[in-house]
Formats: sequence, C-alpha cells, structure tokens
Amino acid sequence: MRYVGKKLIALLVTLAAISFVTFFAFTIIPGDAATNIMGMDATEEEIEALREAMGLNDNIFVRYGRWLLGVLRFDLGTSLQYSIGVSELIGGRLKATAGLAFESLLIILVLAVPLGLLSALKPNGALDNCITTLTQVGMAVPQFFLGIMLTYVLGVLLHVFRMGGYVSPGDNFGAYISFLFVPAITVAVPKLSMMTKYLRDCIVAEKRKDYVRTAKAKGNDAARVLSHHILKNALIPSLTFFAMIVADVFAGSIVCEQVFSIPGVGRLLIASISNRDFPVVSAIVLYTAALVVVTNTLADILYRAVDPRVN
Amino acid sequence: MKKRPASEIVGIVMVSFVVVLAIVGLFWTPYDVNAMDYTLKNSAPSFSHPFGTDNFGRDILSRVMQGASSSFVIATLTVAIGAVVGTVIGALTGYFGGAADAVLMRVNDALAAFPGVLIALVIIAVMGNGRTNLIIALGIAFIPSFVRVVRGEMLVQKELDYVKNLKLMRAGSLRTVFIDILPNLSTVLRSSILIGFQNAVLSEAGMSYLGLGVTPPDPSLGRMLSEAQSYMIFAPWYAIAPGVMILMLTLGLGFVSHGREEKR
Repeated sequence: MRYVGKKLIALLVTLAAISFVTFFAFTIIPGDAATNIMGMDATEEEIEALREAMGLNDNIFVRYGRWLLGVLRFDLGTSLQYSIGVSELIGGRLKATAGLAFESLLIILVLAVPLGLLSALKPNGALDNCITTLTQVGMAVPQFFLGIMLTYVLGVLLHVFRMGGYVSPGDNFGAYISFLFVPAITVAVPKLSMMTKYLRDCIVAEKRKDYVRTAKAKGNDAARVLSHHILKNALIPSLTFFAMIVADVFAGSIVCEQVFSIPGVGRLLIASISNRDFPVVSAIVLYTAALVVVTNTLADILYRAVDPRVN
Repeated sequence: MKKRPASEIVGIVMVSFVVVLAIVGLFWTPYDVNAMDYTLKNSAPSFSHPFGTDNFGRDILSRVMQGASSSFVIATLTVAIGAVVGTVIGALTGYFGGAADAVLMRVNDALAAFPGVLIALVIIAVMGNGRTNLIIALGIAFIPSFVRVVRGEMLVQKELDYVKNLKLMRAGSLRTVFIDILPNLSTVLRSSILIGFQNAVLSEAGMSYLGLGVTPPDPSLGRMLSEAQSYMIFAPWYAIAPGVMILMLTLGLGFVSHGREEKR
C-alpha cells in the first residue's frame, strides 16, 4: 500500500511537471492568441486591449494557474481554427481513435502470446526462424507503406475494403468495427512483431533456468511446465512492455489515421500543427502525456502486485 | 569469431545497395530531379525510366536516389545528436550519481516512456517546420534511449576493479569516464546506434509522410509516398519505389543488428 501511495505521488508530480512544460512551450511561441484572433488588419492598440481583456499580460505563473484550473474542468479554451471548444472538438474525434487503438491492442494481445510461444518451442528451429524473420520485417516496414499496400491489395485488387469508408459508431456499429479492422492491423503489425520477439526471448531465457529442470525432474510433462511454470514468469515482464506499447499504438494511429482518412485525434493533431492552432495542439499533447504516464504507473503497480519478488 | 549468419549478409547487401544509390544520388542522378515532362505523366516503368514517372512526369528513380540521400543525412545527424548528447549525460550521471542523477533520471524515464514521433511532433509544433528543425526534433527525441543504455552500463563498469584502481591512483574523474571507461562501452553503443539508425530512418519517413521536414520540391521518400497515394489506382509503381527503398534500408539494418545480437 505504501508503494502505491508513493507511485501516486510520483504520478502527480510528473503530471504537474508535464503540464507546466506544455504550457510554457506553447507560451513562448511568437504570435499570441490575441494577434491570431484580431488578424492582420488590427492596430497595435486593439490587440493590446484584447490582450489585457484576455489576461495575457499577467504573470506567467498566474496564467499557468488559470490554465490548469481550466484543464481540471476539461475547459481548454477555444480552437482558433474551428471556433468551438477544444474539449468538444477532441471529444468528437475520440470515438475513431479509441476504436482504432482498442482493435489494434486486441489484435496484438490475441496474436502475440501464441506466436511467441510457437517461436520459443524450438529455438532456432524452422518455425522459430520463420516467425523471427517475419517479426524483423514487421518491425522494419514503415507503417504508412504497409497501410498503402494493404489498401492497394484489399481495396484496388480484391475489392474487399473501401478507402475512406469510416462510419461513426452511432450510425452503424458493425460497419465502424469492420472498417477500422484494416487500419488496426496496420497499427498493430510493428508492435505485434516487437511483442512477439520480446515474449519469445523471455520464454527462451526462462526455459534455461534451474526451476524448469526441477519441475521436469519431478515428472511434470513439457506442456504443463510451459503453461504452469514458464509462461507465468515470462508474462510478468511482458506486462511492462505492453504498457509501453499502449503509448506506441497511439503514436502509430497518428500516421495511420492520415493514411486511411480516419477523422480521429491524430489527424486533428497534424492539421492543428499545420494551422498553428495551439490550444488544440497543447490539449492533445497534455491528454496524451497523461495517458502515457497513467498507463505506466498502472503497469508498475500491477507488476508489483503479480510479482512478489520485486521489492 | 563465429561465421556470419546468412541473414546478416543479406542485411549488409540490402543496406549497401541503398547507401550506394544514396551516395551516387548526392552527385549524379539520371535526370534532373525537378525536371517535369508533361508528355510522360504517370508513365509505367520502362528502359528510359526504370521506376516510371510521377504525376508531373518527373523521373522516379532520380527522385528516389536523392530522397534516399536526404533520409540518410537526416537519420545520421539525428542519431549523432542522440548518441553524443545521450552518452555524455548518461556517462556523467551514471558515474557521479547523487541528486542530479536522481532528478535527471526521473525526467529521462518520463521522456523515454513517450514515443519518439510524439516528442518530435511537439518540438516541430513549437519551433516550426523545416529540415533543420526536424533534425533537432528527432535528435532530442532520441536522447533518452541513449542516456538509459549508457547510464546502465556505467553503473556496472564503475564497480569493476580497474575503475577502483584508477580511483586509488587519483586519476581525474573526467579522464576516467571518457578515456578509460567509455571505450569499453563501444559494443553496447554500436548496437544501440544500429537500432537507433533504423528508428531514425522510420521516424524521418513518417514525419515527411505527414508533411513535416523536407519541404517540396526537394524529394523525400516519405512525401513521395503520400503523393503517390492519390495515384494508387493507375500508377501503383509510384508508391512501390520509395516504399521498397525505405524497407530495404530498415530491414537490412534490422537483419544486421539481429545478427550481431545472435553472435554475442
């Protein structure tokens, strides 16, 4: 329990630090919100008056405090480009990104464990070499190239996939899930390869340990040793690895949403960077950072809960 | 020394192929990379244009060659920034420890948890678009992984007898860190650099696909792929040439670093 408390305090400190860095980074950019809102035609006095009204002339810590209070109430200001609330804007895009991330994580989870196991059955055997080579290719292929090739083969040649056919889950849930499947594979492949290789290496390393020999000597058959002894120990470190993958899946979906024209948060982020829509950019950065830090803290706590050796 | 595995040789061949094309591309290309020929828009691969032409009738082979050299230069500089800064920080904090080490490692662990592309995107958003900013952004994004590796290795090395000896002999600590210990990290560093380079090529391609980094009309492999996407139905070769080029480089690097891992 003390450990959990310490972790939660560290989490809060990290979140506070990230929020300050984010705020500070987007404050030092030349050209503030007042200039952006008033446009080119405004006189210096008019801009100055708006600045005063918006509180942009206050001390940076006062402004940070005000901004932080807003963040805690999910009020992150107004998008410069769309003139609607930033939270509302991101909220509208969240469904696509969440579906994409969820489906890819599911693909990774369902496939990585059996593939890693198969690969580790006979290290350096034909099957292992085959899977290892595939994971090498999976880790090396640029995500967008994989996406483009998948759309070409599945869409242009086989006609089983329609490009840009994103459907909102409210309109047709089945179509939403099935459209996101191909993009989800694209996001999943590199991380699935990493996870498979990691699991394989963990299992192979565990197999060489003394307790495995003891378990076998006691008369357990190989399958039971694998499922009851080795897999248990190999899956624990994979937990931390999976937490890292959650963050990577989000990063992967930024590119992937662009390839498949999915109206998600990643696409919004890229568009907002190009349009210098900083309230939106800083909000997405902040929420993503929070997601990464919270996932990692959860993984650390879980790791400790399932592995009594870590102290 | 064990025999090189077959995959490592394949890897070396693949990387060399791209490197040769990239180096030649720095000085000479079959056609001017920006020469447009409207009579040859989206033409299929032929003897005069082995990889075909793009939507402006520009020669794809020439653009791929120069795109590869630009990827190569950006990835090299990125890894150089990450490796040099990361090694210095990791070596010093690992060797000296103390409060600075504790604080810096907190920051580093938090940064290392973020995907590199995301850090680079934030830096580009703040500093603005362009090739130099992309190199700085990716370079910064690559620092945490090097810090982590070098620091971890430093913690091991500093407990070894030769370092304790040097301390007894009152050797200067900076000298000990950089002249006596650092050369012993070369094996670890080399494999981190190989993996880093693969990641750098992938990140650069991803960023330029998103329209960040190299600005048109200068050719870049990632941007070529994003342009090719619109012509996928009737000119698939436009996407295949730059895509295969990136894949050969990254897969080759992957094979080489995997081969090294197996040998150890």
